[in-house]
Amino acid sequence: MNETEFNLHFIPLFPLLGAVFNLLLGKQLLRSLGDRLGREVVHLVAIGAIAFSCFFTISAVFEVMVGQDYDRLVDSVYPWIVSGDLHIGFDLVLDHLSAVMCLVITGVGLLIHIFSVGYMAKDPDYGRYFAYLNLFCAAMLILVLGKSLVLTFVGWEGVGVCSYLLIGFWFTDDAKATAGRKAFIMNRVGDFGFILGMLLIYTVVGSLDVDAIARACALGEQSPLVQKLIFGVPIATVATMLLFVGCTGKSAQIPLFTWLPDAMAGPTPVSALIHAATMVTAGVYLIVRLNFLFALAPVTMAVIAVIGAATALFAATIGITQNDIKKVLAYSTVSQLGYMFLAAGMGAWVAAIFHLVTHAFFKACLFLGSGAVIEACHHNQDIRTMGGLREKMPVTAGTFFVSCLAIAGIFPFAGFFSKDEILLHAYANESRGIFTPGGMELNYILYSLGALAALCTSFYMFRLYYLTFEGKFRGDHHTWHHYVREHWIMSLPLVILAGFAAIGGLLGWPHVFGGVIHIDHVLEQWLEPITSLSGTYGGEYTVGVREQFLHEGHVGSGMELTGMAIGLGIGIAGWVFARRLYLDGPSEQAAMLAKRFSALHAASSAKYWVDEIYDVLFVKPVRMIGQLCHQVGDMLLIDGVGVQGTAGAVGVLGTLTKAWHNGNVRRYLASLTFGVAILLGVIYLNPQVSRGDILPKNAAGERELAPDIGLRRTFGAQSVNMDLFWGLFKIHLPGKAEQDAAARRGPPGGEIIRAPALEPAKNPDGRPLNGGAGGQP
Amino acid sequence: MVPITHFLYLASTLFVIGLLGVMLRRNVLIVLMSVELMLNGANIALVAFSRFHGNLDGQVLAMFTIAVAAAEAAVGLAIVVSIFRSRTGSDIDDLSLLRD
Amino acid sequence: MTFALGPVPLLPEPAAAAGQATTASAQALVDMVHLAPMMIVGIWSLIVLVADAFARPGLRRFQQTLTLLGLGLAVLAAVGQFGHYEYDGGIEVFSGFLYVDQFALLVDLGILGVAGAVVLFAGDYNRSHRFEYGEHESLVLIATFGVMILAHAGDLVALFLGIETMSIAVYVMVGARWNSRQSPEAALKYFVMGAFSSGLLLMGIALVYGATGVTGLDQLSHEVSTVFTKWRAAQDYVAVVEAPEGFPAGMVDMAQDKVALGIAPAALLIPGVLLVLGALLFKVSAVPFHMWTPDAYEGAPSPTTAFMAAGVKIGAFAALLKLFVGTFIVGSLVQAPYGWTSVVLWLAAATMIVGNLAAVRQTNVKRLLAYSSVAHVGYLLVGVVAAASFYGDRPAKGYLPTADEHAWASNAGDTAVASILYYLLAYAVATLGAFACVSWLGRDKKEASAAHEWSGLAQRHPGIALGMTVCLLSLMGMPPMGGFFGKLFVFRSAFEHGSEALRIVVVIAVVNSVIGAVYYLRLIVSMYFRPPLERDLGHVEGRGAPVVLAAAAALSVLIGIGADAMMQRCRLASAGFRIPPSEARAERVDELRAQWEQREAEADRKAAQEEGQQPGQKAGQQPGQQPDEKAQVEVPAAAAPSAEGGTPPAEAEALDDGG
Repeated sequence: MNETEFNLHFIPLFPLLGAVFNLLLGKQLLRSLGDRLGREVVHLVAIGAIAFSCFFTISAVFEVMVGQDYDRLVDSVYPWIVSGDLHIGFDLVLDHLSAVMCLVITGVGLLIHIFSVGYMAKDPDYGRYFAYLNLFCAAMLILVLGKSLVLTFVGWEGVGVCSYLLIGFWFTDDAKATAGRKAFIMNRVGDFGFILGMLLIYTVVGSLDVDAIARACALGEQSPLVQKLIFGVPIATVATMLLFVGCTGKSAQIPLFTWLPDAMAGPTPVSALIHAATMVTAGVYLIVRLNFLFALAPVTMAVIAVIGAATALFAATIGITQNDIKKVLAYSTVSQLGYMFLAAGMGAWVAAIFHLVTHAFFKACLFLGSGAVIEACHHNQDIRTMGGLREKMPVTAGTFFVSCLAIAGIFPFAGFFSKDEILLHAYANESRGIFTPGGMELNYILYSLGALAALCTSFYMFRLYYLTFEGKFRGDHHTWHHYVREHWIMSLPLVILAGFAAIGGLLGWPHVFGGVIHIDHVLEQWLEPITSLSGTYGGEYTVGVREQFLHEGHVGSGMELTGMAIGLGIGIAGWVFARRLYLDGPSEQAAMLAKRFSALHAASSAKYWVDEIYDVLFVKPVRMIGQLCHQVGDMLLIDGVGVQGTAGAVGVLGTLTKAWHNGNVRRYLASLTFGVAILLGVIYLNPQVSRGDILPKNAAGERELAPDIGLRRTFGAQSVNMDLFWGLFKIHLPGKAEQDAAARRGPPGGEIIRAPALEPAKNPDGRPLNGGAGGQP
Repeated sequence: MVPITHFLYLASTLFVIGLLGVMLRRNVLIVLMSVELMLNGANIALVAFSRFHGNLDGQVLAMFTIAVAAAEAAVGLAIVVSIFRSRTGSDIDDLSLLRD
Repeated sequence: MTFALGPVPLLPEPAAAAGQATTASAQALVDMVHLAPMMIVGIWSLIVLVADAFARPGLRRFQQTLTLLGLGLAVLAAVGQFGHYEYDGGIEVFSGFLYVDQFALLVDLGILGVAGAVVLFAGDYNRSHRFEYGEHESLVLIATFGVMILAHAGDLVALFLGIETMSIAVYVMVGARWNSRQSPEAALKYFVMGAFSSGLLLMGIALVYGATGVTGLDQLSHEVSTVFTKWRAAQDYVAVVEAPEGFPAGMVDMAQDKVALGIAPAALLIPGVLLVLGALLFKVSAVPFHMWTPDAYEGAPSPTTAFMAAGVKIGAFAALLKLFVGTFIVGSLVQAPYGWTSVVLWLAAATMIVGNLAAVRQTNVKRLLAYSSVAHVGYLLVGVVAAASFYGDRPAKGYLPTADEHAWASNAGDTAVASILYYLLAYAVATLGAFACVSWLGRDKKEASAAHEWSGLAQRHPGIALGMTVCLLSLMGMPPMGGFFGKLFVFRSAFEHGSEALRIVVVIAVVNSVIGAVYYLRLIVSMYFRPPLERDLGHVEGRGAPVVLAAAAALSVLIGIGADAMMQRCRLASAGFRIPPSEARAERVDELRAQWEQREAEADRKAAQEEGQQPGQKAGQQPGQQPDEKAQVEVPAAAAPSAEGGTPPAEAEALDDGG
């Protein structure tokens, strides 16, 4: 893989500067320039920053496209940490994968910045909002562009912080601040896995540079990552599992997904940018970035696929019964992320990225649309009190509908192609069939889960659409007549995104259709340098580079077409079903169905009580442990065992104090003494020491001849701890020995404080040779 | 000649008495005295070892220790005085304003 | 250097010093010049004390300026000395009583910075809380002097004196706030426990001295291994003592003497070392020696707390490193069954767990920071154990480490010490900032240290809140702040050592730093996301604290962004740490310098190369015009670091397999 230098650092630099500008001056500007002009400056700076970044990304991508002799750009900004053998440079790299990500981040980011101008128009904290938004973009770009995992991790933490700040943007509302905290803590749990995974990789590879890891993985089964075991499991498997824990946190997969629906407390454009299009897909990006490593760990891959499919279905079933417009979309996001992980787990890297891109388009459009709706309805989010809004906001309704078609997988909208590709992989990739629960090949189970989730997706999306935009308005009179009119600055991004959602499928035009229009799978060819990394060594570890996989006869074009037909059928079925039940508001039949399956309905609308279960399982115990540590640790252990124990140990004198007063200082002193007792006790009470069997045995089981320290033998049957104490008192002055020693050392006293025999390098008068001891000879 | 063992018995006895005194007595002044006992026990050990080894290092340290102990006593008493300003009594157990 | 006091021009040529029969007083003068920073601080503490006699309350500011001037001079001297080739191998001054080496000079710089910061904001604080007293600056200087003695100590006597000088001054500073009931109480608690631990320390020193007969650290590091050699040698007579039948009575007597003499030094040394260890663990406040920490930190005036949390901790860790990583490193004393590392390792784990869990439920910011500092001690102790393990690893029987392995282990040990220094400095900077913020809030005898009083701080004082947030994030270990890299370096060092226990504790530490995030975050949340109190609690007049806070926040970020440069300095300070001042140590530093020069030369060469290709590349950025030229710009940079990076783990394994 050849590369050339390019000033990539401008890409994250612009948003960073924008963020600094608005953070420092935003409030000032609004005050000094007046509200209107101040806002203009603030958002022009913010939008300008991201637009520059977008422009720069595009030019960089062109550079990669037209370059004949290289397929990636690098930028060694500066050597960050070079200590010993640890080299971490602040190196950015734009290869074909990060190019796609950067385009999505800056492109969708730009549109969302523009939308925010309308959405946040009345907010007093205008500058802070745009500063955070820019900061987020910078962090996300660093995450994507980082050449080493450390830099990726910096971005990873950075986006976490920004997400936390933006979720809690309206922090005066306590619930929203709490939601921010929840997101942050759940992400920290995941980060913990990420750090451990990095450490583990570092111990084997000796570097966290992605290229170095790729080289280590290129040996396939001979790679030290596979050969070395930890707890009997290849390091590659453990490390990828840990990294995947990080991904579940960031990308809201089972079991760490509950923060994402709560994260909807933030402003809606934020939900669109961070919690739909970009940040939450960081986990998918990481897996595809390290595809060569994950390919070495088939067990992890299977786990990823299973978790992905399970999340897809689980979240989709919750989405069916939610009544908050943003909650539906949040669960939908979790579900779609599940699809991406399903694809990644199948080794269908291209499909995962393809779905990531299309999802970014239609989900951002949906979120922005919901934002427009929420704005129009005066911050009401309950779809039961909406309806008929199409009349009032035709552009929003139209774009929303297009995106619904896309997400539901209706031909020829973007989601159809990406989802179909994932399901096809799930169905046909037999190398995933390493587990056969219930005699059933895993890939069939995964396919069924995915297909079922697709049905739910189609259903809840159209339910959302019909309840919001069709039928009669069910809210109060006032809202209907005083709705907020559509403004072009909010409609424009919607239209552009809907356009992408409609035609995004062209990026991944299936091979079977190749004959019809001559654009083959563009994305697949584009990502080939990345995905080929995991396909270079073959063997059982190969997990479906799509091209090989489709062209080597695993899948006939018949199967592919059948799959598409089924997918389309599922999508349409969900649509029709939703239309019947909800075209004119919630119908009788819907209520009847809910009643008939009341248990299921209750479980789904209560989100399967996952939050409550976590509360019981984790949150409360942690609090209790904190309490317990205080009580047991301080009161029982130190007070009880420590103090009383020490008192007992120092002998009968302890009983002389009639009652044990709870004097604080003395309690502390007892603790201190207890500490010294630990230090001494661990050595003197060490069974190894007191048994005296510190003589190491050789291979034949005999004691080695030269003992290290044979204390036990010195004093027969006495225990050694006693030896050491008594040794202290065994010293006596054998007159001769002392005289000998004295003769050797010369007379004490005088100026000479230290015996000269021990200090050869001294002047005659006992002072050291000062200057000479320095560096020079 | 007195063997070193005897010095060490004395030193360790003083040290342990001081240690127990600090830990078990409630009167602040007695606690301060016990600290002095600990330091002086260590001093005796130092001087004894110094004689045993035939060099003066230990005695030098013992001299320094005496000076340090004096400074410590002065500061300790000053702190006790400043505590007496706001309280009556010298019971160390009464000091429980600062706690978890 | 341009300033007049610089030690370099005043130094006599080494050859001349050795050749001439210099008088003792001239030698002492030269020694003092070597010790310039320390001497300046010492003398200045007296000057300031005298100046206080002439100062009326209005002139107190002058005293502050005077103190800062002295500290500035000392910093200039230390800056001139640190990194100078003269001190690469370390120099013994005052007959080996003190050393002047890069390690000591770096610690000097750190503690001088801490003292300067504390002096900057303590005056305002004392004035605002109505307990201004003239000796404060002098006391800070004396405590600083004590810490510097610790850093320079070349003798157990110096070590003891350093600890006492530091502690006694701090006892007074803790109890100096006479208009509060908490301050004297905190002082008494701290004093009683400190004096108690001094007793333990002195007894430990006495036993160590009894076992070896020396107090100089360079001789000690040699003598402690002799102790174990003697022990082993006494084995020959054991058979006679165990089965005396058949031996003449005189021989049995002699054998008993020999055995007793052989075992006695070890019997003295081991408890002695452990007592010293206990006393030092008390000073750094490791669990279960930590119980004084929250009380003393809460009761003391905030600037003093800042000095304790940053300065005293630096001093205590310098002492701990000097003794337990630099001196007592014979394998038997480090490793099980007689070594201290395993115990301290688990104490470190307990320290971080207790510190973090206790901090989670604190409602007082000072107490919270106190417990958090306890937790940080836990992380640092992991590094100490790792460093000692690298240095003191005793190879298995019948296996002598090759020269390469030996070099690798000492190199790894040096890096571990450097990591600890880095962590310590990053922690000191961040914690100083945090306490500067604490001391700034509240006025008129009422400190705003309850967590709920911090609500909405960001709205009232956005700058202060931002600085505090940066410091807290650094303490929390968030990249790219210094605290993150401190953790990274220390944990990495510990992880690199093959021991299972160390790795487990590193995992515990990582989990703990996640827990730690909770309480730092709670503070940040309450500053930013909660409405401010209706009643403004006011703040201390004067710019000292905000300046310190801003500097600390900026430094926290700078240390993180410039982690490389900072680490390089720490690495210089720790090169050949286990070797007493000597030529051998200077050689180690020379090696290191040579490596850096090579690296720089390489970087220069690369830069020059790029410079040469710049025109071609610019043209190459026009899409698709000159593909041929672009082909040359192929950078193999990625290969170099990882190739280098790949080797040490392999070596580590070789060492593990052997050992």
